[in-house]
Amino acid sequence: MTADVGAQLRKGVVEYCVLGLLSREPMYGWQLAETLTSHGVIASIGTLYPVLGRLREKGFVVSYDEASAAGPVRKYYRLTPAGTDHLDAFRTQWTPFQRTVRELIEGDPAHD
Amino acid sequence: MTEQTPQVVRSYLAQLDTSLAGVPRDVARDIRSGIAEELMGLDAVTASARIEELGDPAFIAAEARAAGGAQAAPAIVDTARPSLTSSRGFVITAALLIAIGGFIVPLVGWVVGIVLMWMSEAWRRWEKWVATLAVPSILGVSFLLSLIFGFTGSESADGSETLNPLVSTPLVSWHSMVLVLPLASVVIGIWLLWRVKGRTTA
Repeated sequence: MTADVGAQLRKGVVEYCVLGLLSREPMYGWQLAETLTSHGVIASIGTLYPVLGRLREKGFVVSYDEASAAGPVRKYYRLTPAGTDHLDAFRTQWTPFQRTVRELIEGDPAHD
Repeated sequence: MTEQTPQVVRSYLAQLDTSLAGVPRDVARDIRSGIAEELMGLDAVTASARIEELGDPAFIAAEARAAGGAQAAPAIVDTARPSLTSSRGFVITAALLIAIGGFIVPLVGWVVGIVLMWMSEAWRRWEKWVATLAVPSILGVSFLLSLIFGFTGSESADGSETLNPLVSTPLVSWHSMVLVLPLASVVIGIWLLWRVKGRTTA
C-alpha cells in the first residue's frame, strides 16, 4: 500500500519535474532520466519517454537534434512558452497545496 | 551502428528491440534512439557501465508500457448532468397531461402529454409505446367492434333490419367511449407515474 502511495504521488508530479528541469536548460533524454532516477521520481528511462511524448503532444516541450563536440548527435528537449506557462501555473498551486496537505496530515498541532 | 560498436551494445540494443514489442511505436522509437545515442561511441567498458545503469531492457519496456497504459486510461469523471426531461416536474407534467390534458384542451392536451413523455428519458421505450398506443387502441378496437356487431341485426318480415339488442350500436359504442377514453387516459397517467417512481432527478 505504501509503495502504491509513492507511485501515485510520483505519477502525479513527474511531468512537472521534467518541465522544471527543462526550465533550467535544454536536456537530452539520458540527462533527464539520470537526474529523475537519482531523485527517485522515475524507476527507469522507460518511464521518461512516454512522459516526454505526452509533453510534446501537449506542446509543452519540443525536441531538436544537436551534435555535441565529442559525442554523437543527441536529441535535446526544451520548454516552449506554453510549457513555461504550464509550469508557472503548477508552481503557483503547488506551494499552498503542499502546505495544506501537510497541515491536514500532520494531525494534532498540540503535539508539534 | 558501426562495426566498431562493441558487441555488448549491439546485443543490448537487440534485446531492447525485442522487449519493446507492444510499446507504442513513437515511444519505442524514442527510447531506442535515446539509449542508442547514449551508448554510441563508447568503448566496451564504459558502455557496459552505462548498460548496468540502464537496467534490464524488459524492465524498461515494462515501465514504458505502464506509463503509456496509465495515460491511456484517463480517470473517469462523471460529467453527466441531471437532465431536465428526467426531472420530477417534467415527468409529473407529462403524466398529468396524458391523464387529464384531454379534459383541458380536447385531444391537444393529451398529444402534448405524449410528446413530453417521449422527450423524457425517465420512461423506457416499451412504457412509452404502451402509453401512446393504449388509448388509440381502445378507440380502434371499439370502432371495429361497433362496425362488426353493430349491424348484425335480423331481418324482419317487412324487410326492415332489426338491431341486435345484445350488442352495441355505433351510437352506443361512441357514447361508451366518452366514458372509457377519459378513464383510460387517467389510468395510463397514473401507471406512468407509478412506473417512473424512483427514476426521476430532483
